[in-house]
Amino acid sequence: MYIDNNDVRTPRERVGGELLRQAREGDSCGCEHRNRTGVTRSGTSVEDHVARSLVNGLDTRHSMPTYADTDTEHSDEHSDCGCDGDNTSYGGNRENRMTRDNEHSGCGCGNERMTRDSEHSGCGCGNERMTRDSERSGCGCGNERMTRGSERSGCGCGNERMTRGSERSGCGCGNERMIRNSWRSGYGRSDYRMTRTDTYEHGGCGCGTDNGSWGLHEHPLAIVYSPQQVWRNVYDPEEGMEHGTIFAELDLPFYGNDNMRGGGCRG
Amino acid sequence: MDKHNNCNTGCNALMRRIRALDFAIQETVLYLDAYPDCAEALEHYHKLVCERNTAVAEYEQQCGPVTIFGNTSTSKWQWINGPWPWHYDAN
Repeated sequence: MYIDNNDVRTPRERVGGELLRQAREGDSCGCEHRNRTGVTRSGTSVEDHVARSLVNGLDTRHSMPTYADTDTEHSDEHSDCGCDGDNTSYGGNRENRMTRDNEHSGCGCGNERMTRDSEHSGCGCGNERMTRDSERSGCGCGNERMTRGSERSGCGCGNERMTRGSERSGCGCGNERMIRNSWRSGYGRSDYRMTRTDTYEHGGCGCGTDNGSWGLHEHPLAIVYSPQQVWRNVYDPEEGMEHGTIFAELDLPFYGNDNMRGGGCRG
Repeated sequence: MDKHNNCNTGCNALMRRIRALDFAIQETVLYLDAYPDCAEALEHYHKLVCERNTAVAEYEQQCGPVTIFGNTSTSKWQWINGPWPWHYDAN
């Protein structure tokens, strides 16, 4: 690029200006996609797209093939390269190859080697090696080993080993052992035996199951649900006074802060 | 000596029983507010109320009124002889 010494712009501004010019003139935006319509899949303008590329330190000097005869409007053919890490075409069309070259991904989220093919996800959330297949989740939220299958959840909320099966909920929330049985709901407290009623397939606790339904995937969205209490396991009056409730199911431990070990009132 | 200001374990024990029953009734009422058709809860409520009435009657006979409605004497206002709120026995 020719540099005019009288140009008072910063190098970044110069590059950005050149890229914007190219984008407006229909040339490659420099990142990955050539977008004739000027609108990316994320809904931002190409200018914004380019600007974000610069912000994220995307190396836009990779020579990219142009798709002169193809409408590269961000559609199902291309994932949202995002350039801001939002490259979660999870569940999207993995067959499309978002690459900058044969070895580089096209999201540029600071990950030099991100590839997308049938074996690898390209979300690039800071994870160099994220894979997605029938056994592994591809959410990549900082979890190197997240798996998804009939036995494992893939929520990735920082829990390396989360399982989902007939005996375990897959909610996460730091609960290693979530139990499901026929008469308890699952709230996801850390060391309480939380279980799930027969009416639910999944525990109603956690920090997002693989499908994001919080264990209530059969229920409509945006409606608050509360498990039904059943009259059972009632304490005697004196015992109820001691516990603070006459219902054993509501007799839950209290965890104060670190300065109140063992609870406050009953510690 | 005022029977409420001495170490009358009988009155204290009865009062603890009454308070426990009151608490259990409150809990049962909260449950019934949510599930008014629960027969088991309703049965439990009546059982507790009956026990509470019995305990209160026993206390008022031995120790004095529990509430302003429990003054059993027709010649003397007993309520004033009970522990004031700042007394230990009142709490």
